[in-house]
Amino acid sequence: MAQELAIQLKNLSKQYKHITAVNDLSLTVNTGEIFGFLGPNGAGKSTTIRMMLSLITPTKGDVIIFGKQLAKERNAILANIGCIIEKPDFYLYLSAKKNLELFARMNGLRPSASKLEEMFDLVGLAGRSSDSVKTYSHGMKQRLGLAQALIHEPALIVLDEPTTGLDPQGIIDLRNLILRLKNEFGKTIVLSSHILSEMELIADSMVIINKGKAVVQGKVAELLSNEDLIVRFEVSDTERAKSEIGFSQWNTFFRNDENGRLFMQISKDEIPLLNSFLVEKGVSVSGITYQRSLEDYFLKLTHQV
Amino acid sequence: MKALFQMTPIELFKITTKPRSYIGFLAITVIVLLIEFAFYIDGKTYLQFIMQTLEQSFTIQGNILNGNLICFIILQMLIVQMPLMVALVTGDLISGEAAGGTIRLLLTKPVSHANILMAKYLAGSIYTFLLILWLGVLALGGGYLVFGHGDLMVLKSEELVILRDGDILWRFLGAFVIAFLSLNVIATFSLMLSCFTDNSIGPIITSMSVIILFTIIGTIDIPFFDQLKPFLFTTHMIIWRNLFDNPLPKSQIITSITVLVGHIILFLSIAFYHFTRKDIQN
Repeated sequence: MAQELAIQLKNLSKQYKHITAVNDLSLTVNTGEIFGFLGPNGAGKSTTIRMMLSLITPTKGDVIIFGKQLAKERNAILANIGCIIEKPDFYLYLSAKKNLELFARMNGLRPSASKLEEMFDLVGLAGRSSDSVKTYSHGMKQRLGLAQALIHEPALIVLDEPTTGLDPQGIIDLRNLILRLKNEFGKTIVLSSHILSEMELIADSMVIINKGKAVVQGKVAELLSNEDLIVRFEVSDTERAKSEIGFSQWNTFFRNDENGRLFMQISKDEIPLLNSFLVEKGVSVSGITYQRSLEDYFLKLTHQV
Repeated sequence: MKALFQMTPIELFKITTKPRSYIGFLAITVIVLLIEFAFYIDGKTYLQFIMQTLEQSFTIQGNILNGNLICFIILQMLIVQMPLMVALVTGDLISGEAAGGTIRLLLTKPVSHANILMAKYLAGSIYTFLLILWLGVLALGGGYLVFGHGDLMVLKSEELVILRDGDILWRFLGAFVIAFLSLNVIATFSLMLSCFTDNSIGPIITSMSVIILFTIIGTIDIPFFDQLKPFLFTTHMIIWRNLFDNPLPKSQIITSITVLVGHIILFLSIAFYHFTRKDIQN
């Protein structure tokens, strides 16, 4: 059964005098998925997201969200979207609770005190709702931004660079919350980020754009399955391992650091093969860890290397 | 329309939570009370000095130093400063949101740009109305309370107009309505400027600069400027004084009201045109 489309961008373009910020961009986002939006600075990510939210008028093309054309049914569409655009800004002279209430009222809601508290609980700000936003850290504002994006229970959530300025724990919390929103509440989430490994951890599909054009789009798992990983092997005898690998099919792909750890650039399928090879050669392997070389993939696709 | 009813109280609430919104009320309170206090202490001496030349030709009886005169004097003095108090708030309505970044969230809500701007205009107008109302309460109400009632003597450059106590209240009401319209022109003008920039200082300073410039043009008697004067809104902002003429220059008042309303419509139209097409890039 074909999955319903949450977003369709059709030949979307934005021209500023002599600059083409977005150039004939077309993409689709399925309902209920986390969609990653990647690209280097100035690639047109923010402009595209702003066109999806009617903050910027496209020069050409269509934005269709849940089957409705944004140019014709803007308000009906926006009623079903929650968003954070770049940094979360609020009325600093008001309390967090009052800010949340105001934004809810702009959506035509009059949330009860318990509903507001429920939102503060959800984003981890319980007990801080009465504080002035002036006293909030960036991470707290980001959480409040999420509460603001969720208060009207939208089906689509758009988060533009949501991890910017967050500490590691904040990033993990945000990631867990995004996954929860998708898995428990069935939300569709569009996410732009510069932290590419984050995208691999949570996105189902993604698009990489460069110079306003889509370079690649598809399922994250499919796009990255054939890409090499940087795999670290913790071995009993580094010198022997190096020597054995030197005479093997992997001889051109290894390096080691001063701590005696081996780093191999190989595909995921090759990890058990190399592990067996080393064991057969009498080298004990005590640990294998890997990270995706997404940066390389990203740069390769955006023609910067 | 529903969105407008939904947004206007929100915009009004935002105005009430900003400290700058109270500067105008505070300034009016201090200035009016100061003037009333000064007249209470020394008003009779002041009036004797003013009336010296008149008393050579007329015999003046009754309570000249009354609430009507005090209110008239206060209106003359304050109408010059009040545009600043209004622009301080209305010049910030859009640009303040842009500077604070909240405009991004505001414009992604299911309310049209036109309704958001209209709600801000209405909230700014309500604020202006409340400012005028406060001035009325303090100047006229306070004046009657402290100085009592009496006929109003309006000394003009070429004539002396004496208005009966019973014939004055409606004139003051009319004067406050025209003062409201005048300040609404300033509110709309600064709101319009506010749509073009991302900082609120610009619209406030520009509004005041334009008022000062137009006022200077209006006071210099050069033939070239004389041709411009009918088109300047500042020329028509002082028409409230004509309500204290006898007979009433109706056509002049109607013309000025038309020009003021025309300016409001013009500034609002420019603001709508720009704001509804504005790309939010910051």
